[in-house]
Amino acid sequence: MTTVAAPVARSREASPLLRFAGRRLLGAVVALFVASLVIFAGTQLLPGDAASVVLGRNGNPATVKLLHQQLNLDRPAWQQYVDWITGLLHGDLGNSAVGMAQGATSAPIWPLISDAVVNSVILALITALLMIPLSLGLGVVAAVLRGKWPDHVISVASLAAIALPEFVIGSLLIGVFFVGLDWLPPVAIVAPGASPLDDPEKLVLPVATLLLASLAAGIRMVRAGMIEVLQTEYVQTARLNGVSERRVLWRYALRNALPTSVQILAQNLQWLIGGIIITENVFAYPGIGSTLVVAVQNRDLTLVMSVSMLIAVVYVLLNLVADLFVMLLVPKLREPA
Amino acid sequence: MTGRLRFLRSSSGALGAGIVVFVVLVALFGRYFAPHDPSAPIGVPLSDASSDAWLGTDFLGRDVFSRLLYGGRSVILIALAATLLAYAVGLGIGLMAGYSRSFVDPLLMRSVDVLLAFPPLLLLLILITGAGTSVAVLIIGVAIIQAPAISRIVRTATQVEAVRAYVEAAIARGERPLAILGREVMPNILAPVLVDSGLRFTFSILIIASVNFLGLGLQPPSPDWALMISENREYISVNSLAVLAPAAMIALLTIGINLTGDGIARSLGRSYVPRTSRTVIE
Amino acid sequence: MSDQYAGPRVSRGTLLKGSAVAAIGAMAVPDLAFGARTATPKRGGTLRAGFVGGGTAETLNPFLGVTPIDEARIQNLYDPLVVVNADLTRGPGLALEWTHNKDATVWEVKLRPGVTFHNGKSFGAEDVIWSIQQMAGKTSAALPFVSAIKLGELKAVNKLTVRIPLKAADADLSGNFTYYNTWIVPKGQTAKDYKKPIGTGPFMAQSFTPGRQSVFTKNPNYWVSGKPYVDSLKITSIDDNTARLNALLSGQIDAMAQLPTQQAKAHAATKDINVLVAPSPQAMMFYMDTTKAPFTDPRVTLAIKLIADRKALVESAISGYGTVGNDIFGAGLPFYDKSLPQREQDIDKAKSLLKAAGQSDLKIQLSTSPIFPGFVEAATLLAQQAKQAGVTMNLKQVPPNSYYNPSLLYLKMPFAETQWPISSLKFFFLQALATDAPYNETHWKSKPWNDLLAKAIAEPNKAKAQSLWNQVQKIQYDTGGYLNWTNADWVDGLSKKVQGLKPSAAGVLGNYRFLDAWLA
Repeated sequence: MTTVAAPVARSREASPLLRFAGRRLLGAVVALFVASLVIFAGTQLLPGDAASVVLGRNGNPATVKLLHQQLNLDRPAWQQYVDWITGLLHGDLGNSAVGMAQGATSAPIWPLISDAVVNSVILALITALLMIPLSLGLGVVAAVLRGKWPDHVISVASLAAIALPEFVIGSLLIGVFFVGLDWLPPVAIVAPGASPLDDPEKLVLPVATLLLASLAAGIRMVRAGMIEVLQTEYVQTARLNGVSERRVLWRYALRNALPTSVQILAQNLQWLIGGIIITENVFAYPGIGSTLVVAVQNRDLTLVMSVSMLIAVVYVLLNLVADLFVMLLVPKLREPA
Repeated sequence: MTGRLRFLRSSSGALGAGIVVFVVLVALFGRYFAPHDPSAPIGVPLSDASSDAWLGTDFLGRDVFSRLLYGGRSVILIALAATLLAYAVGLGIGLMAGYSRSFVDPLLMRSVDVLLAFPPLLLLLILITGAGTSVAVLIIGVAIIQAPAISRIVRTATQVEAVRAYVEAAIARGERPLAILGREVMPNILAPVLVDSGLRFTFSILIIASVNFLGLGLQPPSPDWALMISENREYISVNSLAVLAPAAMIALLTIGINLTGDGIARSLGRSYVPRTSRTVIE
Repeated sequence: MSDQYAGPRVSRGTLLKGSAVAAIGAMAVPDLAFGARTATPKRGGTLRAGFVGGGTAETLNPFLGVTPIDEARIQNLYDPLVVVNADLTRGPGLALEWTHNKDATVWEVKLRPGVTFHNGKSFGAEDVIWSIQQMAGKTSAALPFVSAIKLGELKAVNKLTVRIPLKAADADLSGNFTYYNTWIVPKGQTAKDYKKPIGTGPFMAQSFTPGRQSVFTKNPNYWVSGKPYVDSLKITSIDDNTARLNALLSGQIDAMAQLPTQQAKAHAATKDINVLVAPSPQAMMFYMDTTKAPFTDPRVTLAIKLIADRKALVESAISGYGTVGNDIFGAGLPFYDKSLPQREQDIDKAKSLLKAAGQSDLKIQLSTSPIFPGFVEAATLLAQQAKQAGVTMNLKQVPPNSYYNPSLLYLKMPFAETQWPISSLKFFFLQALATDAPYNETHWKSKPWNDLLAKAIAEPNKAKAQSLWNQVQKIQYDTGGYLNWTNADWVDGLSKKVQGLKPSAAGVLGNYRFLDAWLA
């Protein structure tokens, strides 16, 4: 996700990059502040609360009110917001509303989710690391062999994959590789404290699902970018000058694919953070996605808010880093076509 | 062939258009050919394909084939409504931001950035849990998710057009900004926006299917392709057709739209670079 | 989901002195434990069970836990005073004898000797008194069961005898202590201690990560000698139904509660897993708020009850795993009115009743939720059946957490579904239909009927009581707001190596009696 930066004034030579970075950083901070307000307001609008969930069917209004008082939930909203934000700025994610409703003296959120966060990061990273070479490779092949059968096969296959909802892809993969062939496990349950890498075959189907669901976009982006580059005068001239096709590919075309891959990587990491929710549910993988879904159902508002902020921070950071990288690689500051 | 229909010359464009027309016809008129009432149980739940039920029965014993013939309208209409709403909002924001050279541009875009910082499914989860599971909430929610990316595209395209000569001429003529945007700029940015719109529409369908998966989307007992997929997913091993048939229809629609979009883009002389991907689905 | 029930009247035997012993209202449950009788149980191994999780709301606190996964853990960490058997009769748990004074206002309970907690401390009267005080906490789920106890006057007569004075007479106090939220904890254990709690149960807490997994190890000094057979019990939260079943099919778990009935049918045929089926008093009902139009008119409520094709509902919504229900409750239990005819579908009568009430084109909203297997299916089918009588039912599917949450939707929906494991008429009527009932789903308020109910409960003469109960039930049958379409079976899935778990009418997975289970 790149933006067009204001054209650099030629007179000022001093580090346009730094100024750009500074401006973007400021923008990021503002965006995060606004995001925190939106998150807080959004979760406050959820009807019901952790106290009533914990009490279940026995939670009559009087008992719930009692629990509210014990939990300090009857303070005004702005005060709760300020407490939450100051806590975040000190690195304290707060206490789980549900844990407190159950009577604990403290229920710090980070230990509750650290395991899940690590699990999701591992899954996302593996997917992203496989995504880059796959989309680059298949995209280049499709571009170079444009119009011939490998191009068609790749295009149709990736189109078909992107046309199915993620959970259908997951169910189909399970149907083929577990029910049909019994080659791979259909669920990816990881014990608390254990690493998902202890039993890597569990990760194959979830990663495959995520890849199939998102590869198509990357492939098409690489393919289109490559085709355009291959058609530029620059490359035509090189060809006419007798540069071998292979060298043309490597030196000119591929190098221009680098900024595209950074874009793909950033975009997909962002998508993965969110898109992982469904795959985690389908494969019972204990990651942050499924933790969030249950937390919303339980109205564990502090958990939802703090994790949402965490995600927002990561999103914004990824954007920032990607934009900076692209700026470094493409001195012209021109947005890719 | 007239300029507008040039895209049909390419094989993918023609194929795509054909597929889309087929699916839309099934969605609109399929119900007049349905052998059974889509809401009535006709046999044992999840039974296999038979002469009476060509695709077998679903988890309540209703005819999958009949439900398939009825199930296109609601999912297409809801996704269409959501996408149109997203465009209405996205065009508005994007045009303003792209045309303005003042603080309005970064202000609008940063606010839009905030929305992009949320995993869309999480946004929908909170919104629907808070506001209830009505069709209106679903449409608004999907529109909120799609609007930011649309506004980015529109803004970029507007920025490109805003520096063109004809716009300068219009300013010189004394035309007001709103008129310029509406009459001069918009027709010229329509091309890239249109190409993107097909994809947007299919993303709307996929978002709706994903929300159904979490149990927060469309309500039973309506026959609806997206709902059929999540209702019967648990029983895919018992009668897979109950899931695969509606999924195939949605997939056909998506593929058809994509191919048509490719054809249009090719006929416009540019290779198609999707600015978006599943980035904004989940 | 909480099971608000107690066993039927006490069985013959040593449990009561000086009180009327009621007839046994036992359910005939086939003793279909897999491989149980002939094979010798093997020791060792880890039994792994999968349940729908509750995220951070999962707890080991017996006075708070309300979901099936909580119940599974609580029933294995702690013990009850009174055990409910597979046929719903009662047996001695930590309490061996219950006696009361002449007017049943003061009870004495003799406790089981030789029981120790997981930390070696011996169990005694002080622990029971402490536990009862915890049960009476304002946020405790057990409060209704101990509200009649004079807490300040609880006394430990000796180390193994507790005196319980009551505010009002109750001829059947022991029944209050069969519900899993009333189980016993050691003196001094408070809400803050539930990360690694102590109990007397067959398993001891080793580790617990809410929302993920708990690991319990076997209690080597359990008071049922020789049990449990397995070395440890691992309970995992798996929210998605398909993922849970897949985990069972691929051998990552050994037991799964509440197998979707269509899957149960399919897998019973393929025999790749064992399906544990237990007939149970689990009543599945539609209910109408009798204080909200159009249900204020008893002709309308009766018409709705006549619309249901109950046999079709049982066949299609729960794949036949249940018996057809009548609009009175507790088939097979004492005082059930067998003479009331089974209600059948009668569309013509329904139409004429609606016409007479001026509601020929009735449009109503039916709230449903996937919280119990069969709910959404039954609602969809009923709506379909209703069309024949000119009634349009618009379905509204609600997330499980909101459905039974009194702060959200519970008790506010005019037409919805519910599930009650009914094993005592008295408890069900008091919980759901008496004037101050805590879970009055049909908002039934009728003073004359309430007086009739109170008389029936207090009547010591059985024949007179039966006739009073018949009147109580007939009024509900004719004008009440409940449509009871089935008593559904408990249906669970077990891997083929799990043996020893007996189907129990009292709860899923053999009522969580994992101490009986062994791995082949």
